[in-house]
Amino acid sequence: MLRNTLLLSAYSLLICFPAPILFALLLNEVRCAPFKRTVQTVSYLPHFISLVVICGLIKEFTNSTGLISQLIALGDGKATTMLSDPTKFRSIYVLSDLWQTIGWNSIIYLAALSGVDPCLYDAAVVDGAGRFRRVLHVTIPGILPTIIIMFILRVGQFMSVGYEKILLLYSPSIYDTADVISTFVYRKGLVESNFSFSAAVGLFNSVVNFALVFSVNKFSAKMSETSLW
Amino acid sequence: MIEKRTTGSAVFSVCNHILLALIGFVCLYPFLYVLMASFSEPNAFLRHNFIMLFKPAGLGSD
Repeated sequence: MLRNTLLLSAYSLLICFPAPILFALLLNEVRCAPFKRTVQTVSYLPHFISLVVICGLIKEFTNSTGLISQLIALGDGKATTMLSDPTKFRSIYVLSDLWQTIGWNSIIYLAALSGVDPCLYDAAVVDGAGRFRRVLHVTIPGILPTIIIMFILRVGQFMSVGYEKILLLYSPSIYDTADVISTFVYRKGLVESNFSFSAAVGLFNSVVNFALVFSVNKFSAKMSETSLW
Repeated sequence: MIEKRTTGSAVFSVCNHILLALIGFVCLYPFLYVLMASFSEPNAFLRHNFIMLFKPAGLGSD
């Protein structure tokens, strides 16, 4: 259970954290404004839909006749109900999280991107920098403070993976990979009325989160002079 | 801003547009699917064997 929490969090952090940055950088390279606006608007869409509906969609697409199972079946021939397979839960969780958050989380990076001084780009062009070089040496340093702040805040949620989605998606047959601390707290505390035990587990969770934020913030203050406090 | 249009830059632009269009499609499609499924006639919807759904399967009247 602790292992599930850590693994799910680590995968989310690894995949869902850099993706909006990349997405914002790619959007920033698009010159055609209507296309850029359309993609941006469409990518916000999943954020506004209720989580229950999202989970309904995930179930619909991953059951044995659903689109995603069928697409995977093109590769290896048999379509299964993916949510009852414990080995696939992590991928489903992380990828649906990515789908849901990529557009919305890119807003803050796009805002940071528009704050980069255009003179710097002109100077870089004069110095003979190509497109890739400009991104690497002007854009990324320009948005680095934002990235660091977002990273510190993200690490603060490391131990609390979005339990609503897990509660809606899991079933006893995939408890070995899907059960995380928050869902365990919910089952112990509210379902089995074991309040004191579940409060202790919840407190442990919060303490670990606090320790993580504290140490990452300290580390970042030392390394880059960007920190929360 | 004066800049050279190199081949690499053009190739990147095309790939970038394709990738972003793909991301946009992936974000939009599930909702399109639900919309089309809602307008479908239930039995025709259950029987649809093409996995992508771009128009309602047997337009439901009610």
